[in-house]
Amino acid sequence: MNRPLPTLTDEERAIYEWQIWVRDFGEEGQQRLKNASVMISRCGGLGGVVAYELAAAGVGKLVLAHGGSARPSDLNRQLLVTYESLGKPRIDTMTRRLLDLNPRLEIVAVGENVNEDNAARLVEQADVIVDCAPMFEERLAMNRQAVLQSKPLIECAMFDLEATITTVQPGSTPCLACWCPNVPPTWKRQFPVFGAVSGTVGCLAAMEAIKLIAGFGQPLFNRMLRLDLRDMTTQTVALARNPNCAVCGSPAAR
Amino acid sequence: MQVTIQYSGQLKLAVGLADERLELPEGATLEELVRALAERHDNGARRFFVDEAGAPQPTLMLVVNNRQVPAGTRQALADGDEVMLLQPISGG
Repeated sequence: MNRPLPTLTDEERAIYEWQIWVRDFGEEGQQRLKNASVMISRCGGLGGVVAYELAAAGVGKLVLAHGGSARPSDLNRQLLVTYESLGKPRIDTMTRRLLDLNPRLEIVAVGENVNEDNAARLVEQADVIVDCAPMFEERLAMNRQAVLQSKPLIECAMFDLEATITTVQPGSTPCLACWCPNVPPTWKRQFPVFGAVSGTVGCLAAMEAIKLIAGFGQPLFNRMLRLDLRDMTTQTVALARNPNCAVCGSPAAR
Repeated sequence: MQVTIQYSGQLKLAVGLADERLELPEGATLEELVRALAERHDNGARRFFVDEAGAPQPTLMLVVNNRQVPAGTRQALADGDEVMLLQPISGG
């Protein structure tokens, strides 16, 4: 994010007027968003809302990775997928919906999910990474590359009416592998969730990305926010780095 | 002494409880608590708590009084402690 800040056009000033009024953000914050790129791993129930909020906020470039074709079971939460797009590549409808909202947005649309082969290339193209993938293989590959390339990584997740979110700053906070070193043996790919739950944590993740890019507020470094929408309670857990972490621990541990 | 255990994610569904209280001997450790819970919920939920060797699952985040305890740390518990077992969850 060391590139010179671009100026805003009159149209952009008009569109973003209400958020430029936000304390500590201002016009320079808006310029930083315009200058920034964010990579989102999967743009479903969670990542789709992250992408939509960041497109609305005026982030300049989104790198989107999402494979497969739209299915009926996407429609309860994947807000970028439309009924008309069922059976068609998800990445196409996601791209179209985002450009409908913000035609100034630059999109790198990748019609595949994150894996060990493409993670490095995807992370290279962005300043901030948002991990919204359902498979821990994808999440751990993304985490490894974010740490290797020293890119901040927003880790967000949901299950039933629960959600968690934390922000990894490589070198100073725990990474995903510090507390989830491998694929949990009991994890099941399909799980209960409402779109309103994935959307809630998606909005929180988008706000984390905006704060990181614009440099204001306190991101969720070294802490995990946990929400339970069943009883509307929140908890903040202080996280600890694992010196033996195979990804970000001491050189001897890697 | 008595501690409170709070469950989350798939673990909450597997044990069929959001939380419970457990009586433990004075000086009991967090690892001993996890082993005790594995025995207590042996009907299908055991793998959530411990691996095949009987050690706490490395992917089960252990939190005492809202502070994560890194895997492998010896942590003595105290009366009234609130222990949260955070099963990693994901997106989609």
